[in-house]
Amino acid sequence: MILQTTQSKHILCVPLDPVHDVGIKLINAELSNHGHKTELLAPDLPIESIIKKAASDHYDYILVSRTIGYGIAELLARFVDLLDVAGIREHSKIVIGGKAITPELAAELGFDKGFDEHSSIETVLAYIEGKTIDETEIKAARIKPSISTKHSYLFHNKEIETLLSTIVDKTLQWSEGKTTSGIQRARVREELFHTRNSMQQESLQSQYNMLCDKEIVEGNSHHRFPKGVRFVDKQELQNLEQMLSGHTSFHAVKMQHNRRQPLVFKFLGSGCPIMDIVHGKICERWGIDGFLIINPSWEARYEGLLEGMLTHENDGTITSFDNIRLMKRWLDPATLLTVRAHRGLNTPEIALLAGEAGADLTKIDLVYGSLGAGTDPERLTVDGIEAIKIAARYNMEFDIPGNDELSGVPAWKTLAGLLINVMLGKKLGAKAILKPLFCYGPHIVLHGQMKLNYVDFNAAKILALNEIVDCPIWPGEPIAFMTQTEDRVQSANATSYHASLAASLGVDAITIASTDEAYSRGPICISSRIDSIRAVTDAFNFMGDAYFSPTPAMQIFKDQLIQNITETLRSVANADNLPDAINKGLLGNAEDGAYPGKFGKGTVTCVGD
Amino acid sequence: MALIPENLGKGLSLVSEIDPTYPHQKKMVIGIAGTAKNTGKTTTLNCLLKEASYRNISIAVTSIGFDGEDIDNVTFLPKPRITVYPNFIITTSQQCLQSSTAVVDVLQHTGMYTPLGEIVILRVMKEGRIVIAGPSNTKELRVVVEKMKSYNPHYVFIDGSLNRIAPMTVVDSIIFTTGGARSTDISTLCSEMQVIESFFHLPVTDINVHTASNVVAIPLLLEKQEVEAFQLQQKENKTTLYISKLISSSALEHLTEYCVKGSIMFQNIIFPDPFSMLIQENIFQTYECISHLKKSNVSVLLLHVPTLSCIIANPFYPQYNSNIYYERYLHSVELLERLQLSCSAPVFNAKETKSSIIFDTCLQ
Repeated sequence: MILQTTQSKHILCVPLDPVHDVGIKLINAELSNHGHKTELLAPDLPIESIIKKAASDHYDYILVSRTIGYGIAELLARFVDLLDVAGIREHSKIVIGGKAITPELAAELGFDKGFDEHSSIETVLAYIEGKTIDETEIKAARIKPSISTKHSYLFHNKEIETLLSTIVDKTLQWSEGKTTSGIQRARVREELFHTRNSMQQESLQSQYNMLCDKEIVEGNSHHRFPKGVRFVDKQELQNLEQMLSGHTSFHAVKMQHNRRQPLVFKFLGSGCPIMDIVHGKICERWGIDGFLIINPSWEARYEGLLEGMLTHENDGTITSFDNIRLMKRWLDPATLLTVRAHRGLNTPEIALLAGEAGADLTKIDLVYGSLGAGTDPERLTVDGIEAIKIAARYNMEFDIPGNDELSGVPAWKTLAGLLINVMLGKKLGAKAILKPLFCYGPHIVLHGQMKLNYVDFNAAKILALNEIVDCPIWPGEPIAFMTQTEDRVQSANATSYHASLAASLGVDAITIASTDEAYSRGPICISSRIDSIRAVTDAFNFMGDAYFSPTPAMQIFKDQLIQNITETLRSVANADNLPDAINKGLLGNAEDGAYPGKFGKGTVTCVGD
Repeated sequence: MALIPENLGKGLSLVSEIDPTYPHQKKMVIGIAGTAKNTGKTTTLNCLLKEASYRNISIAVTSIGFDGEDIDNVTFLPKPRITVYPNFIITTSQQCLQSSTAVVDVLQHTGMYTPLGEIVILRVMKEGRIVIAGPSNTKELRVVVEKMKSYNPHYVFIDGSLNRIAPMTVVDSIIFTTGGARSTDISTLCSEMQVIESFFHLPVTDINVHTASNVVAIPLLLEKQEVEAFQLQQKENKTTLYISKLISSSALEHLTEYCVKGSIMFQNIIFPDPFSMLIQENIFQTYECISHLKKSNVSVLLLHVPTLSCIIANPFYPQYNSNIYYERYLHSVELLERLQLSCSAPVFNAKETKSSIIFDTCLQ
């Protein structure tokens, strides 16, 4: 469609290159479509011919395209000089674009404007038409997505629904009247958030401390923190503010090629919230939709949470209210933030902090948190139920990671565990997100489901879940787990193939790792984050609206998974309640490599005790 | 005085401290052009500015681009490399202003733009470093120079930019820098500077190329086929050829050949200035053609010739080996001596020669 514009410009497009003229051809076509009068020269013309042509008419702009080559700077500078001497610069703006070009090089060589390989046609058009790109319009174009809204949470498989309902009802009944110090701390903390009276605050703080382990009290009251933990200082915050205030994402880059492709999440959790934010901002620029904050593993073992803006010289960023809020403050409002609460002794409190700090999601998994992440099943069940209620109150979705597979638990048991959490959420008013793994876990290694290809079994997991319930699915954690090596190219490739498969299966979101995540032996570097982002962006582009075509084995795997999930749930339904089922190994046993956790054992009490 | 904030401390050179007896010069627009990066252009400029400050002479400085060699890896802006002093008049771009350590007062927004923002004219209030940036085309450069002159500096320096020379047509005199970074072969450096200097020694004509009836004026570009046409069609009363803008190298070769043969009968070939030669693809070929024309009694003349006031020779060159950069140097004395033998303009080493000598030589 040719648009008539009152600002039609006369433009000469010059491929100053022996061969490469595709870029300038595309720009020429777009400019023409926008109503500008364009002329495109052939490539490999002598400079003198170009000068004569440029002088033959009054061109508002002369767009020069040049790709990388030896002697390019000398060539371009001489060309600018010739245009100057010919008097062409008195009425024409000379613009350079191409792979080698940066705005600084363009300035040095004397061009009026330079566009690099990342410049969009919109910026070129805006320059030609004398418009400024409205940053707020770009930012406004980035809308915060919701993962669960297009799902009904209706179960298609009625037998599984009935079994889940039984399991959950039994569990909820069992948990009634039970409490933990984790729940009590969450309640005290909630009061603290809403109390302005200083005497009351003091009293509540005292109550809170009584419910914490001494290491937490030492940290909060006396600022004697565990090794490697300290407050973020004012200068660090000022430096962050100075750095970020001058740099904002100018273009809302999207990784997805079409609306069907999933949202993309990355982990943050270097230990330093400042570093996390800087990495987060860069990843946002490259199109990442959201982040999951990974906390230190030791945090799960203590009763109570440290307070303040804290930095930690090791893996995992401390889950304090101030840290979450700092991240929320600097990340784009449209970026989703998940706070991990699925294991340890602070699940309800973390869910509360996440809600109060404005996080969008939290992570709760009563099964994996008990089996693979060390928390006592009874403790985590009681805490987890409370956390789900809190998530519902704050309208936070919660994702359920199926990381038990990494211990060796068969996929069907893991998926059964995920479904139990979904039903719990449904009954408690919170929306769960299924997180089956795209991984080459131990059970798969032993039994060969992915020996012939990685497509069939991964697809079977997703399609099995789709057949059971209409619920969002977000493979992770990350995808391609245990298929990556230290080779950054291989790692990026592995992530991209799995991302392609995920897109093909129509999942709602994926978590991707950086290319050095499993092997970094230190903080993850930003370039390795961008490796995988670029790889996935290209993969999405490659897939577009096409699909993977699984072999007939996928159907067999899917049916087996559904059958095995059903059998697993039958046995769980026969147990007294969920903790009982976990302790009996029905959702993963010693042979699978899964052991019920011990942290918090014996800490569940009855209300009023 | 109203421009100067009250709270500025010592070391500030006030307007009243500018030497009022220092005469304003006729040849006041001075260009500094480098034959390559790392030949000492920035060092020379810094040296001249420091000397000017020492003598309480006010200087205006602009550029035909900007020197972007040092890029700040956080801001991705060029790092300021030029030291400027109080009461200097400077141009830079709006974006480059933020990296300046000099305290400045914005005098004017020019409405002219570079890829790094609008060009602004500043007065330096407190010494510091700044990125000099200016208009990259001749028309805008003339306007900026006139604007800067309105603030009454004693001199206007125009800093060159890599590989470009055309806008230097506005200068009254020019300094060339060369050295090991251009070529490690001293003979090549000497030949090249000799050729460059020869262009600045061409005679100035008093022929009025716009009104004289015997002039064939080429309005844009003289190409080979037009030269062929001269052979067939040249009228006897057209004795002067004026190349007002451009000539292709093949056209120059053919023109020379036909003039030498006598099949074209121009007595004079006029160019606007030496820069018309310097923008040719091969200056050695241009030099050869001019030599042949002269031998055939064809006068090669210029409308305007700035003074080539001096040559700065920098023995330094970077040597790259396995991704490591090593500092290397030509024999400094040999470089200077051989260049001086080849050229009539004074030759200096900006780091070893006293800045007062370079200043007095270049800014007479």
